[in-house]
Amino acid sequence: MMERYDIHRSIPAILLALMVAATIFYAFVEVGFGEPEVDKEDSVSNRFISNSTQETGSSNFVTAVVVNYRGFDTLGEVTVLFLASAGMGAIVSALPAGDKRKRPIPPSLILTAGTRLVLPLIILFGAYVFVHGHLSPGGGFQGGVIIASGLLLYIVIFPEWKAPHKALALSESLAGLSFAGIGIIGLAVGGIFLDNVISGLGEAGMLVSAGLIPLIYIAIGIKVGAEMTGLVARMKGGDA
Amino acid sequence: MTFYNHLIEQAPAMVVAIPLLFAFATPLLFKFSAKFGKFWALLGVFATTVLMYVLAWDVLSEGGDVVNTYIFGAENTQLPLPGDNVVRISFAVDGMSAFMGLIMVTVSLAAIIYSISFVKKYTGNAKFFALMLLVLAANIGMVFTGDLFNLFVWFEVSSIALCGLTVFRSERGEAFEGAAKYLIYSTIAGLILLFSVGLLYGQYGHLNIKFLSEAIGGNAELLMVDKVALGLMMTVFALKAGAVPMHMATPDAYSEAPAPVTAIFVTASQAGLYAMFRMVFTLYGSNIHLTIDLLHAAGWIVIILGVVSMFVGVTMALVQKDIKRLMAYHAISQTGYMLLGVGVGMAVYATGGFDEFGRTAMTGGIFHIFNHAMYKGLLFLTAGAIIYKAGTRDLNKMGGLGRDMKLTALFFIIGALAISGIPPMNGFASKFLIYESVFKFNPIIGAIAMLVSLLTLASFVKVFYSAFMGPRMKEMARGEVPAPMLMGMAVLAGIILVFSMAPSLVVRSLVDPAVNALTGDGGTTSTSLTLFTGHGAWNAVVFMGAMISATIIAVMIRSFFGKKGMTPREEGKKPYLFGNPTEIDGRPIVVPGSNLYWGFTKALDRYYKPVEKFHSGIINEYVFWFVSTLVLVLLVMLAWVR
Repeated sequence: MMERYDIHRSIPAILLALMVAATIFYAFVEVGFGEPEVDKEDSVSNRFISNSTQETGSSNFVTAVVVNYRGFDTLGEVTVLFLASAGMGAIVSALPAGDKRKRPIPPSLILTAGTRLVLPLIILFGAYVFVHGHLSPGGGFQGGVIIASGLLLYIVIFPEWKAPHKALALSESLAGLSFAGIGIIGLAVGGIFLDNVISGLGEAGMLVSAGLIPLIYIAIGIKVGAEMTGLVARMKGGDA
Repeated sequence: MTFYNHLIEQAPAMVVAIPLLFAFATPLLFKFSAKFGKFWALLGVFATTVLMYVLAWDVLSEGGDVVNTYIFGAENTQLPLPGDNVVRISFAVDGMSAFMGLIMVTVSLAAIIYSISFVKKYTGNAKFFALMLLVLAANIGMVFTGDLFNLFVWFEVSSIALCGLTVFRSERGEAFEGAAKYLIYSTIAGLILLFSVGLLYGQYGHLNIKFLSEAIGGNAELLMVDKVALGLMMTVFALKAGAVPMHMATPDAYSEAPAPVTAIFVTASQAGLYAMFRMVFTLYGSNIHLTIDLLHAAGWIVIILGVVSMFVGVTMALVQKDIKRLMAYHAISQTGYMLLGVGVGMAVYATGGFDEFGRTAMTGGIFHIFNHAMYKGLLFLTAGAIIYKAGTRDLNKMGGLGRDMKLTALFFIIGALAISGIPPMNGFASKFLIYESVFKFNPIIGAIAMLVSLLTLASFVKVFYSAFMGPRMKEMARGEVPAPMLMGMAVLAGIILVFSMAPSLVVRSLVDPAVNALTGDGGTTSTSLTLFTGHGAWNAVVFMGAMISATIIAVMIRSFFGKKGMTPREEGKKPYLFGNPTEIDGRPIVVPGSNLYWGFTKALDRYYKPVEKFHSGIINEYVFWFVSTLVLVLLVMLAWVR
C-alpha cells in the first residue's frame, strides 16, 4: 500500500526543521557543550562532587544526585512509569472481551522506515556512551544495553530477521579476549595484571585520556551489546 | 500557632505529595471496593483543596511578592534562595503560583465530584481516579516549582496523564486518535523544552530559576543562548496553552476526553500559560535594562498569538456541530484574551505605558485565567451532562433537554453568559479590563477583542437553542442528571456568581498579588468596591441595581400601556419557533443548530475555506505548524532583538 511520496510538499518542512536544528546547534556551540572549560567553579555539578558525601552521607555521587539532591525529580519520573502502566491498563481493561487477535498486525510503513532510520543513530549513541565512559555518565554496560535496545526494536519490527548468532558469538568472544588481552599487556609491560600502563597519555577531560580505561569500556560495550542482542533474539524463539 | 506555622512551612510540598500519595493508593483501594476507592480519591482532592486554600491565604495576604520556598531534602526547607541550597530542587510559591494553585484545586475538586457518577458505566474507574489525581499533582508541581528541570518533569507527567485520560473511552477509535495527536504534540514540545533547559544549564551550570534569573541579568550583554532558550520555551508553552496555530490537537483531545477530564485539561493548558509568563517575567526580568527589548519582542509575539487565537478560535467554534468541539474552540479563543492581556503588559513593560494601561491589561489577562477556568470548566461539565442524557454530541440531533434538565440549563446559562462577557458576569469584569486597556494600546486589537465576544455569545446561543429548546427528541433519556454531577457543576457556578458580584474584591485579594509577583510592581488596580481602569469603572452591584430598576420600570410600563388580551402560550403555536408539537412525517419541525448562522458563514466563505483546510486533521501538518511558529519566534528573537 505504498502511496506516492510527494517530495515537493516536504521541502518547506525540511527547510524549517533544518533552521530550528541549526539554531539550536549554534546555541549549543556557543555554550561550548562538552568542553572541559565550560564547567564553572560554582556549578551544580561541581558542588555535587565536592559536597555530596558530606551532605548526604552517600559515597556514590550518582546515587546522591538521583535519590537525594534531585530526589523530587526521580519521584516525578517514577510517576511517569506509573502513568504508563496505569494508562495502558485503562486502555487494555476497557477492550471488548473475546477480542483475541492471534495474528500480529504487520508493522506499517512508518514503523519500518522509521526503524531503518533510527537504528544507526541508536547504535551510534550507544557507541558514544561507551567511548565517553571515562568522561561522562554511562560506560560500557550502559552503552552496550543501548545498542541491544536498538536491535530489540529491529527484531520487533522485522520479526522475520534472523539474528546472526555466529557473528554475535564471535564479537562476544573477541571483546572478552581483548579485555583479557589488555590485562595481559599490563602484566607484560607494567608487571601487574590490568595495569593502566598508558595512563599518562592525553589530558584529563579529553577523549584521549585515562589510558586503557576507554579501551576496556569499548570492549565491554561490544561484549554487552552482543550478549544482550543474542539474548533478546533467543527469547523471540525460533532458531537457537 | 506553632502548628499553623509548621503547616504553612510544609504546605508547598504537601499540596503535591497528598494527591500523589492518594493517586498511588487509589488502584489498591479499588481492589477492595469501588465505593471506597472513589471515597478515597474524593478525600485526596478535598484534603489538597483545603491545604491549598490555607497556603494561598497565607501567601496572598502577604501581598504576593513574598516567596514561600520549600527546598527538598535540605535541613531547613525555608532557607532563602539562591543560597547554599541552590543545588537542590525547590518550590517557590509566590502570589502567582498560589493564584494558579487555587484554580487547579478548585476545578479538580468539581471534576472529581462530578466524575463519581459520570464514569460509573465504564470499566477502569480505578485508573481514571488515579490519573485525575496525578494531573492535579502535576499541575500544581508545574506552577510551584522553582527549578527548570523539575518544570519539565511535571510538564511530562501532566501530558502523559492527560493522554491516558483522553483514551478512557477506548471503545471509540476517535479517542485513540485524539490522544495520539496530543501525545505526539506534547512530546515534541517537551523535548524542545528539554533542549532549552539544557541550553541554560550548559551556559550557567544551574537549574534554579531564581539563580538563573540573576545570572542572565548579570551578563554584560544578552547572549544568543538566552534568546534562543526564551524563544524555544515561549513556543512550547504557547503550544501547551493551545494558542493558534499550534492548537490543532486541542479540539481533538478536548472533544474525545470525558467531560470532567476536559475541565482539568483547561487547567493544564493554563499551567502552560503560567509557565510562559513565569519564564518571561521572572527568568528574564531581573535586569530590565538588559532584557527590555527581549521582553517587548516577547510581548508582541504573545499579542499576535493572542489575537490570532481569539479570532480563529471563535470563528471555528461558530461552525462546529459537535458540542464539545465547539467548546474546545472557545477554550482556544478565550486563551487568546489571556495572552493578549498579559502580552500588552509585556510589550510595554518598564515603559511609561505600563503604568498607564499595561498593568490594567495584565490584571485583566490574569483575572481572566481564573474566570476562564471556572466558566469553561462549568461549560464542559454541562456539556458532559447533556451528552450523558442525550447520548449524542451532535447539536443537530439533540433538543428539548431544557424540559427535564432545568438545573443543568441554569448552570449552562451562567457559564454561557460568563464566557460571552455579558455584564454582570465575572467574564465581563476581566474582559472589561482587557478591552479598556488594549483599546488604549491599539484600538484595532481592542475592537477585535469585542467582536470576538459577540461571536462567542452567538455560538452559545446556538448551543442553548439546539440542546435545551425545541421538542424532546424521542430517543433521549428523561430526567435530570445524578446529584454528584449537579454538585460538581454547582461548585463552579457558585464561584462564578460570587466572583461576578464582587470583582474588585477578587482583583484586590487574588489578582493583584499575582501581578505583583510577576512584575515586582507593587501597585494595585482597585482600591474600592469599583474596578477603575483610568477611563471607565465597573461595579456589578450598581449595575444589578440599575438592571433591576429598569426591569421594574419596563414591567410597569407594559402593565399600564401594554396590549391586553394575550393568552399564554399563544406565541408558541407558530411553527419553527422553539419547537411546537407540530409534526411532519412524524418528525418534529426544528431548525438544526448548525443552520442558525448559515448566512453569516456563507458570506465569509472566502475566509472559512482556507481556514478549514488548515485544520486538516493530519498530525504531520500539525507538527509542521509548530515548527514554523518556532522558526518565526526564533527569527524575531535573533533578528529583531539586539
